[in-house]
Amino acid sequence: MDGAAQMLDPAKRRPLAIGSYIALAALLAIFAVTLLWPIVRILRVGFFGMPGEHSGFTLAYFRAIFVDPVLRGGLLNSTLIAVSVTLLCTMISVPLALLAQRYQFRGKAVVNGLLLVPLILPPFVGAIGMRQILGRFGVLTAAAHDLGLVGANTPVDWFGSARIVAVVVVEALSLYPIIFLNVSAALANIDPAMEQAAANLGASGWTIFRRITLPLMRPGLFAGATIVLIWSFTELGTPLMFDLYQATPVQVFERLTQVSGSPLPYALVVVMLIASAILYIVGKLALGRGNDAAITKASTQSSAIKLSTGKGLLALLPFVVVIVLALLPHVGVILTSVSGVGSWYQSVLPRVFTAHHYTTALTHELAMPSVRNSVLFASASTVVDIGLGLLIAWMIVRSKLPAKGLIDSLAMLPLAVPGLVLAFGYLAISLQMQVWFKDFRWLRNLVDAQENPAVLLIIAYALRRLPYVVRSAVAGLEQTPVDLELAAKNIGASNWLTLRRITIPLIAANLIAGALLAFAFAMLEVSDSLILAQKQSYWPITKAIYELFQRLGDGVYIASALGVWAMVLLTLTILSANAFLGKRMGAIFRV
Amino acid sequence: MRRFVLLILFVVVLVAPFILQAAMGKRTKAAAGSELKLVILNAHHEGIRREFAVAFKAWHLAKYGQSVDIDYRSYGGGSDMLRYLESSKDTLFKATGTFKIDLVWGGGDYLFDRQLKKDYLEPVTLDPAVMHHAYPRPNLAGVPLYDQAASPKWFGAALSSFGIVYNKDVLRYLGLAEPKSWGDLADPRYRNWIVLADPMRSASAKQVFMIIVERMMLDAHDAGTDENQAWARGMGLLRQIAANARLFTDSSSSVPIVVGNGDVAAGMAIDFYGRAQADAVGDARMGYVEPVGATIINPDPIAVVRGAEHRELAIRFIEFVLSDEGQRLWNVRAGTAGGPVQTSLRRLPIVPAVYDDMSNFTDRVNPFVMNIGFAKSGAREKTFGVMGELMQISCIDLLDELRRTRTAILASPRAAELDARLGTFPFDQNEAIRRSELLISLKNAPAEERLKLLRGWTEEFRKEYEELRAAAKGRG
Repeated sequence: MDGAAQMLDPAKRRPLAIGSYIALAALLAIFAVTLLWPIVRILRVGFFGMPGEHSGFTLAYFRAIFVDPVLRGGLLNSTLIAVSVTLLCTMISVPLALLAQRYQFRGKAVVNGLLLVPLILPPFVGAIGMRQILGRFGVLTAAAHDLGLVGANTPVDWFGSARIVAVVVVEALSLYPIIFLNVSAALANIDPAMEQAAANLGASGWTIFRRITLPLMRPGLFAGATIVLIWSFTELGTPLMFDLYQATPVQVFERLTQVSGSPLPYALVVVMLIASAILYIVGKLALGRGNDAAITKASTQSSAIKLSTGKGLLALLPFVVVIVLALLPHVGVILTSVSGVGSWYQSVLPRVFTAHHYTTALTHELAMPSVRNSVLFASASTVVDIGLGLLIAWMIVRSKLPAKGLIDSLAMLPLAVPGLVLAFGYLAISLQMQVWFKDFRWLRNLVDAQENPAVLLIIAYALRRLPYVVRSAVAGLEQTPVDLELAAKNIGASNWLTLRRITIPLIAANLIAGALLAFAFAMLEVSDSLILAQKQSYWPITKAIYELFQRLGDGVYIASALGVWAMVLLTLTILSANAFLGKRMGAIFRV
Repeated sequence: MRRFVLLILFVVVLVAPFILQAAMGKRTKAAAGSELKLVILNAHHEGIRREFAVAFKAWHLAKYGQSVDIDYRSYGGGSDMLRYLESSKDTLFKATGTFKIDLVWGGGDYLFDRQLKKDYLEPVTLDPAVMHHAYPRPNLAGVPLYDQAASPKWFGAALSSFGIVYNKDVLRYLGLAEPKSWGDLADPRYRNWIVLADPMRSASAKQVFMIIVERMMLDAHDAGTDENQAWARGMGLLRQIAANARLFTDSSSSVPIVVGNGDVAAGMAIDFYGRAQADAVGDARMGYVEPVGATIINPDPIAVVRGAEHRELAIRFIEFVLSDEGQRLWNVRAGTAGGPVQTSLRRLPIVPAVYDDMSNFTDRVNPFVMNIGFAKSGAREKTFGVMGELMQISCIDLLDELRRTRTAILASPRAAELDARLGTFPFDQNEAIRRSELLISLKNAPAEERLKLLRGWTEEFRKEYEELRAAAKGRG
């Protein structure tokens, strides 16, 4: 490769080098503004108080959090949720990933695909369905009655007052695919020769797992577990939907109205940020790096053992159980969307079916504008992601820039920085900019989250989903021989022409897949949307779903209709992305 | 090939709603585009917001020939609106001279008269003809219907009362009769079957708690006994009801929803929430009742915010709300002439003339003729401002302990005596007022000082509950 590079005319390489440094500087500037500034702003207010107070460095606000039993309880609950969800997800995913890796059985491809279904719905929308199922007069109670387990008209309190259990279950059933994908990818890359060698030396199956497989798949496990841990620690929508108010993200959300006057919500966000950073660092450094040697390609593919029909069915069973449980929230949402108002009550299925909520949604002042807003914001953010993602991927894979490791880490950072923290940070810098621009009305309105959150939402969506596009573009570039680009340049093609005619077409599949995922997840982004979109005419889908959910009468049904549409859209996204990326899907969700 | 089929399907699903919407021939308007704009800080549910926006736009276009864009800001309940304004006062308002809000609407008269009027509302002089038509009488059962200053700062837009929503299926299961009075909700058989709204977040929850206490004070007054002590018994009754609570929700509109789906048996609700949900799920399942003589009728105000950027338009909106056309939206059935388009709002209009024709009304209740509520008195509402904190320190933060305490009490041989102790607050109204003033004096102190004070009070209650439990187990 180096030989080929040297063949290039030095005069032509020069502008490239300058160009890359300019691009590098621009990228660093973008990250500084969109990623670091909001975080610095939160830290600044959290540790120094509101601007104008000039109180100097203080830990008073943190003391206020830790001595307040309610806020302390919130932190405790959130930690409990995060740890429980991660453990539960691991317990669900690892055995299934091992089964799928080791054995070949009928139906494996289908259940492997279906396992990813939870990704098509944010857990907080699924919570609508679960509340219907778990209610005292809900589906489970009705089913228990039909089975003769409880008497007629007898309510059953499934989780009692322990709403936290419901939150953990719903989040775990929604997030386990992240660990499953990461562990599967790690397992696929373990060189089977190692396990065979251990077996030849007389090691038992358990010893092989403990001494060979587990250490080798650990990076994948921890990559997935870190995402799940941070996600569930900062998840806002699900506890909100289950009325679990004593959880830190909800407490931040409830204090948004004080954002321009009190440092307390800032301090709360700082605590979340620090806790997440600790979780991230522990996951990434102490317990195994995401991209170390174990994830290099194996010399041979391990061959799965083919199971007989009987054993195959047995192997299928755990998959089916998990899939059925994981599908419950979705089924709940779908049935709610076609149920007559108040007719799904004391019965397993709704007593009255109707398509009315869909037609209502189409003309609803909240529903349709929110769909339009979401499409607009998500499209714009995806365009930004493709541009930035391509540039970053090129720098990481092709350039010899000194800071490319830094760029790589920065581009992946949004996966580790909780959405809630960033969204709150944007709100904070929006307030700061309004004071700066108070004499320039149009500029002030442009950066005012309350006036018009469009710009901030697009930036937030773009940044949060950038890792997907970067990861898929990097994967594409790594698989495309650089010689093709060098050949083009050798025969006189400019950089731009090479990019347009050679590089982009070669990695198009990866770009499309990454862009699809970025788009779909931006459509269903929860934290940014709930926090930044305060003005009704700019509400995206998720905010509309949350508001409709609280509306009396048919609100929850219209919210479900919106949820079903989003579900269908995201299913198609995942299927398309999968078709474009194949087995490399797991890479998208890795830290 | 397969991947392109999927991609095409993706695009089809993405654009389907827009095509279907176009095919249905109805387009809802997206983001701002009109030249006139009105920003309303609002505590109402989405149905009210939508119906009034639609009707006002049409009214304004017909009357002034201009289209208007209404921008509602909803941060939650009335208390959340207050917090928003409070926290913007020293920053946004100081820096720019405006809260960037034109109108504030909903949340009850106490919020407007006692908490917003001084710092956040702007005096407005309406056309005398409008005033005379809207408010031929300045008050109802002693309650002012608008701010009685020469240039009023707030105007009642509708009337509200409060009552109990209940699920008949659950009551049947629990073997309970339909509730008739607030005190019924303290029946231990409701344990874990009551839902309450958090008074720190919902102004209407605060109001309904105050009504319960105030009624007991009025009873004491009528009987010639000490009102101060009656206050403590009222607060104690709230404690006994809270001991039955499954949860305190953060919005008062959740109360009728969870009652409707049978997750709880009963809760307290503002009249139109209760009626609307009973209407939606059917009267066979759900009921709404106002305790006779133990509720109040109060105005739900609207007001222009200080530094409003669109003051003139804001005044037009108030005039529309007070017009017969605007008032009829409150109670005329959706879809009928002069009524809302989609959602029946089921609220009581504040303009008496509107009750002359109740033919299409959803609820044929005329509060100007019937005696629904008792007369409120400002003297008995001195603890309204601190009601949220009192409930928080005694009930919400200690909900588990409170529940355990009452269970222990009821299982004890001294049940009657100890339950009466739980049913009486450990301090009286005078002490509550003193504490309220202490809290207010800390308004500008660092947040932690205020929290420290509240924490100390919570500890007092924790100790009281411990002692009651010990007594119930024969150790005290």
